[in-house]
Amino acid sequence: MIEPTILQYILGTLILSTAILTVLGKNPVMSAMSLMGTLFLTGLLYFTVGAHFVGTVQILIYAGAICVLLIFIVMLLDLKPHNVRIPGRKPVYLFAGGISALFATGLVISTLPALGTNGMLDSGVIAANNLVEDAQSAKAISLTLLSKYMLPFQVTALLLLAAVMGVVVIGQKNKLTDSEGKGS
Amino acid sequence: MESLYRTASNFGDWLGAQSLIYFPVVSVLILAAIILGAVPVLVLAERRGAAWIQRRSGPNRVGPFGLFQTVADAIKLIFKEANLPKRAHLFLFLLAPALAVIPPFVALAVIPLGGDVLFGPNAYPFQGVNLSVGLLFFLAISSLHVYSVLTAGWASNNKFSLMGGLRSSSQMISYEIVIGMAIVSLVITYGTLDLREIVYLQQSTSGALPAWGVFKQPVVFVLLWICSFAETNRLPFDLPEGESELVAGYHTEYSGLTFALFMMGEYVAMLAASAFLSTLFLGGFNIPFITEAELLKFFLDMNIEQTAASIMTVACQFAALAAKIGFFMWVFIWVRWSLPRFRYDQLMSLGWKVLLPISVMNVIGTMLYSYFAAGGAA
Repeated sequence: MIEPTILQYILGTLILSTAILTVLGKNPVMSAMSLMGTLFLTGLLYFTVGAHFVGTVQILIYAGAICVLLIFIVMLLDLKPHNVRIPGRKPVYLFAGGISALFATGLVISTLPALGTNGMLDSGVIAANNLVEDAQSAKAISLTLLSKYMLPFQVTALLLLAAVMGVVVIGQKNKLTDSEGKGS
Repeated sequence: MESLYRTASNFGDWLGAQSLIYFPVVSVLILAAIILGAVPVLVLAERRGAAWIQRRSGPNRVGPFGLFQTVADAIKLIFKEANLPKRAHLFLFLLAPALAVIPPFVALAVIPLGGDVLFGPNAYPFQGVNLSVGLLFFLAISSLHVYSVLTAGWASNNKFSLMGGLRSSSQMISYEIVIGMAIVSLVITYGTLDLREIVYLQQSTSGALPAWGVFKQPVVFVLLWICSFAETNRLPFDLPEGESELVAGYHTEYSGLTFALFMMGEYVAMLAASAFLSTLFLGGFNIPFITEAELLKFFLDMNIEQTAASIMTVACQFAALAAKIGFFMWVFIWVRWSLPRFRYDQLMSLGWKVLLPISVMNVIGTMLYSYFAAGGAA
């Protein structure tokens, strides 16, 4: 039986509040910073259950790399609160919100079997915890990733490559105007 | 002398009996004290070093050899009014200096500072936190350093600050990719992410040379050394605060204590980068040609009690680490007053067109080498 510690409750509260700030904040930079806070604190939560590798990777990739790019873009656009149009209550937004809420509920329900009686985590989750607590967790995770989940891993890589190429295509200047611009 | 040893041994017994569980706390406190004590020394070394390189006298009036100059500077900065620009985003404006100081401190916690302190049957590593993924953790936490520059630049509501912040973030992201690729080949060589294990792997000697990482991966060493200048915003990569273009870049609007925090953050980040380089490439706390067991035996042979002997061993090892860190720190200062600043496009092309291809080639070379060195079998 693993009972959450006080630290985990505090972290959970902070994660939820920064997440709410991300969605409700009117200042885009503050929203982006709150998102960074959410991701960073989630990494800390992984540390509290002994998953050092996962927590480190969470901080390294999400808080350290992705969010920097996000904030970089937001600052480059220099969005002031009064420049951002807050969308009204159109049916399409309600629809989108409903779909998201449905998915979120499904996600929560799908993790419920992991909870035993009294809302405590059952033995399977404890075993998984022990696995990550293992000193060789980096090795264990990479071995699983490169053997059992090889196909999803490769497909993700392909997807990212496609996304990079898409960005290059979109970012490319129109060849006609480009050659005119050079004036040669 | 005898009584001194007895005092030390009693002290060891007391520590062993009273506060075994508090040892991590004690080592973290020692670490924080060392860092806080080192920063003023470094600032003075920078100013005196700069003066020496430029054939000036430098600050030499406050105390003997100007030793108390940094104390005077600190007092001045503490009592100076911290100016708050009217249209700045107050929360982020005040958050940025804190973000500049905290990540380097946390990153330094995973650096092994010395061998094991022995309390009877128990051995406690002299290190803030002994993480199995220390190498990655260091990179993760030091990558958070960019937020201070970004938020400071944006929250100041000043065009120069914003330009400095944007420059800094694109520079850091570019050089972090090089660091990541360089670290990959290093991890292949060492086969572990545990910084303590990496240090012990460099303990032995191979031929006439110590088995240091710099002889195994010289290319990675040079790459990481260059990148550490870019990551700490030091010359020749101090574009974010280039005074001839951007006034003072991201910290234009900061004064008093808030500015002091930025300055302190820069020096702690330099310390962290130096400690990281020493740990990975110069054998960390290892003293060349002497292993930890030999050193401990030397002290034990002098009839010193075990705990005291291990503390002395750790002190010697820490001195070795400090000497290595001091070397890198001096090079930081030396380079600052020797090289001019890069132009922005030169900085970017150096990162993307020179350093990144070299690091990728090095990863491929290391992979091929380790594959064939292992007999060609997967």
